[in-house]
Amino acid sequence: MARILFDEVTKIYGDDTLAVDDFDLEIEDGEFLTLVGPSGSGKSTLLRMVAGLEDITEGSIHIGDTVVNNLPPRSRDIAMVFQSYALYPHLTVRENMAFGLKRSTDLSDPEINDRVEEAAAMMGIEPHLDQKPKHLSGGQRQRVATGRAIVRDPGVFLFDEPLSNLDAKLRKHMRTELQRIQNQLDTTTIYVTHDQEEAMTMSDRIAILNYGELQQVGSPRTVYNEPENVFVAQFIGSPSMNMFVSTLDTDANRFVGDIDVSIDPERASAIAQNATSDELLLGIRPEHVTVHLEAVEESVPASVDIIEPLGSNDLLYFDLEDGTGVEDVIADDVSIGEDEEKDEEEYKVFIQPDSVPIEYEDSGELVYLTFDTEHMHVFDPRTGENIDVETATRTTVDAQTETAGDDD
Amino acid sequence: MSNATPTEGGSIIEEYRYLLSKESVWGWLFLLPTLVALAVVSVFPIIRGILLSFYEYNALRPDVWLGLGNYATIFGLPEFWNVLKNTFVWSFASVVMMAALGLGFALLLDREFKGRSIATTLLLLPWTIPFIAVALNWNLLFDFNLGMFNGILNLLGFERIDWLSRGRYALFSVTLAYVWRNFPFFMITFLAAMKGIPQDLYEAARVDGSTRLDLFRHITLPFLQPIGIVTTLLMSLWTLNHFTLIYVMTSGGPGNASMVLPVYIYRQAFRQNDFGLAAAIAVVMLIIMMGYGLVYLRLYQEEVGGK
Repeated sequence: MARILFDEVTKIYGDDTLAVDDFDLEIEDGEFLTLVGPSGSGKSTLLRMVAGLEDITEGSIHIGDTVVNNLPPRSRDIAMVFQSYALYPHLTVRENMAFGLKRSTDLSDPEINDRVEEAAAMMGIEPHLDQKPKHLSGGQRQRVATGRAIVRDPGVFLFDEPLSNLDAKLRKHMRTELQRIQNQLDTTTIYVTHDQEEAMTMSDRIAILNYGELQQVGSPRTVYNEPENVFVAQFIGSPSMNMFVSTLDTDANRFVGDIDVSIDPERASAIAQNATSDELLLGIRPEHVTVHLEAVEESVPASVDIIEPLGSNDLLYFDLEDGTGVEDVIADDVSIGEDEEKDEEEYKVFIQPDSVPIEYEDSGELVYLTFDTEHMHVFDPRTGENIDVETATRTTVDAQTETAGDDD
Repeated sequence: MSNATPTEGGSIIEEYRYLLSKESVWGWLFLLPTLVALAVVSVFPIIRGILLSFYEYNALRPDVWLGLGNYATIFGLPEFWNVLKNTFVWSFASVVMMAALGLGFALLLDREFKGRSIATTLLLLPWTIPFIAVALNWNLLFDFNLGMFNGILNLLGFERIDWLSRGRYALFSVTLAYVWRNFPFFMITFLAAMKGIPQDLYEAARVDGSTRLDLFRHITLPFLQPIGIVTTLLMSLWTLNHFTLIYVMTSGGPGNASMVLPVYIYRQAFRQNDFGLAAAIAVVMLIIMMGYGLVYLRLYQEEVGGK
């Protein structure tokens, strides 16, 4: 077992393609850390640098107490599961799993066989031990690839999008299987995925990357509830966070614009202090918006685009009259994620099934929305930073202090 | 759709009816030009050759039916067995050397280095040169007085060798020229196969603790095996059949030291004016090659099909 330390790691391909930029992160012994980000964010490059499959341009990577920059993959005490599984097609499952043990240990053949059978039992693939990979289904191949990694009992597991070739149902099942195994073995794990849902459900901590830069690292709940910038806010959570453009009126302690909401004076002045722009981005997740069929106090009218039934609840897409596009106010060098760049202001809200009549769809009939400002994030469009985080944190701390005071 | 279309599990009569149906006749009509061309250039010469092998046939006298007489003559000739041995030695040695060289250069060209595309072009060049030009050039290289090889031997203080006129060197010399001309075929097929090997497998094997030799033995070689088997079969048949280089460089000499079956057949037919005997040798050669091809393909199916 081993902790992993990235110390100012930079990777430049060729002459000028910057893949990873000055990356610092410490992964605890036994921790399950997920690197998540869109294509080209540098997450796979980081993983491959840990594996020794990619040179490090600058900085250093430590596994345990050893700097591994110049060690070949076989000397790093790691095992890796590839997206394509990379099973040796001419070898049986048993030979695939024994391949690494034969090369990296002095174990005798019977000992190797025992280890292989033990790992196969753990992965539920004993009946397939003497088959070739081409006779196995996608799910079985995935198990063999994972089995081939765990049989070596390495200090570090590296997973490179291992579930992306499976269908949705099997993917969900394998998520829990991998978590179970990681818990059982308590081996330090780096898991790369572009699927934020996978990252949220499996990890102890998530590191979110974009264009080779670390955007935020924290527990799934932290990055979901306290995104440090607009990219993280948009990337984590499905469907993504709604972004409204409004101006803060400090006299009235209100936001005015796409949506009009009032906030408490202390929070308003803190936001005003941090803001570098008049127009600000208000981020509110779909579960923090409430839909009313009649106008209520502080409500904002909206027209219904489409209602998508999801089962336990429905997802309602709405339009605002005179809604401002995020891309109209955001600075050029601030990344908001590809999805947001592509679509035309798609606002979403979760509703109870059938709580809004289906006839409202695309009819011009208005619904009225209210917003839970407690869970509202405020981003500066010039920097992309969450300028409300400190307030939110202080509110939590204040609340805790008050509770503690009450107890006294 | 015609009513005569055969149904699954239909009777033989229905199938014949289908063959004679309008739809089918059109099909045969479209095939006819190809069938005629094949019959003229392929089927007819083979049948004519087989028939010829049962006759004493030359341009000057009427044909005489000999039955299996020509075959008896061949198998009784010591020089035939010698030629057969030469043919196998030349084919086997050529193919082994070409495969080894082809594999070696393919491994080199599979790596990233500056000037790789130029190196690939240069190494492919021999494959584009006509055999007649190769033969003339290598005759010069092997020349007793002016040739490069003797020049090198001379520089190193060794005696010069009569490469093409000394018994044990003649077959070796033509083999060398042939290998030089043809190894790029192996090289390019191996290189193409190497490009198709998923890089993930090499990476997985490296993480699994493999050395360079392990990577070659356990990843590269198994992936090259199917294409290697097919290329070897093709090249063996081409080499067994090859005529030009040996005919131009040594004509099978000195004596029969570098004589192989295709040149031997030519000599029997056009120098000895014995077309019947030449045809019989050609039939024996056809049977050997077909037998070799069938055994080889069976082995291939067992080896590759089993995987």
